[in-house]
Amino acid sequence: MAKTDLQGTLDLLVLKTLSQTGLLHGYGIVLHIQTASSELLSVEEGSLYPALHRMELSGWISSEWGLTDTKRKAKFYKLTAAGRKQLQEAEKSFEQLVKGIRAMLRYA
Amino acid sequence: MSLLKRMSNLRSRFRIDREVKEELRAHIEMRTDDNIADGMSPEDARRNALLRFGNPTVIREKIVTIDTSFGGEKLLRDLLFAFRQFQRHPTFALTVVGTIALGIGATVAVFSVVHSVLLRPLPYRNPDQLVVAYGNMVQRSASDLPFSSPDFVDLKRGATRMFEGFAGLRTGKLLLQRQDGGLEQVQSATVTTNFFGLLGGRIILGRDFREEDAPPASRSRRRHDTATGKSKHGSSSDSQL
Repeated sequence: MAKTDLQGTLDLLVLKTLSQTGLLHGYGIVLHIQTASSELLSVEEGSLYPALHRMELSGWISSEWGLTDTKRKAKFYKLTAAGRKQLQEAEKSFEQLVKGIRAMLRYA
Repeated sequence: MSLLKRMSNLRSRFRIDREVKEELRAHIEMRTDDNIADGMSPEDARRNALLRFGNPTVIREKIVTIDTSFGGEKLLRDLLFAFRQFQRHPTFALTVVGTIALGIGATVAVFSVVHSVLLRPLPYRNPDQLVVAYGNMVQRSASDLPFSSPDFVDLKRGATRMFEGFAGLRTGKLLLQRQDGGLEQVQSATVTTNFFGLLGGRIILGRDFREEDAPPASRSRRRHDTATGKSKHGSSSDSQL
């Protein structure tokens, strides 16, 4: 049984974003999710930050302050080794969820 | 997360709150900038950024809640784990509990002795200047002897530059006759007239001795007979010292 819920999905999106981009601030993560999902997924912008904070406390991501291209101070996040492992598990678990839902929908 | 990190998290709660505030502000400003770049007026750009973001205060509260629940949850998990380990190995658990209990007990016992014998100051005036003088008979190798009255007077007069004063004390037990005719054994002490003044004792009943109270023979010594109706004076003063 897959353990993915909505919160887990947001975690997966953030982890995947960071694994694809390296170092990114919260606003950049929001933009990346929108672009990479061909505008199909939009994250509720504010609710991203509690998730980021929780993931940092779990040791999946780490943060540091830096300057953006427009010289604005922002907090940048990057994936840790534990985060990489978590991403693999989350991807696997999400695949199962999708498979399960698909099977459920096809059942006649 | 280690306990140390948890504690430092607690200490830097204010710093975290400030950082979160700044992080959220940066997000809203970046969105505003992008909106302006897309052609919105500055007011519309900011309103749109705030709308997309949601209430920053609520978000901040959520983050703080995560912070606290995280610490508590982890701690609870650690405790439950420890408890399960104890259940799985009861002999080990009992050994540990016994060792810690013995250790605490021994420490408390040693400390209470050290405290009462060495650390706690004596309940007298200037306890750090207090000495006890005994007589010695070196050739007979007898020590801790009381002074004779003449020796005491010599000591008192001869040591005025080194000591504020000397007071004599001899303790013993007396049989007292009670009002109802029964006998009672009481602790008693024979002291010199300057005894209470020197040690800073408080007289609860009656009055302190005066120099004239001493018998004329030595003028500095007086038998304080508790049987002569001053038993209250004597015993309560004793308990004060």
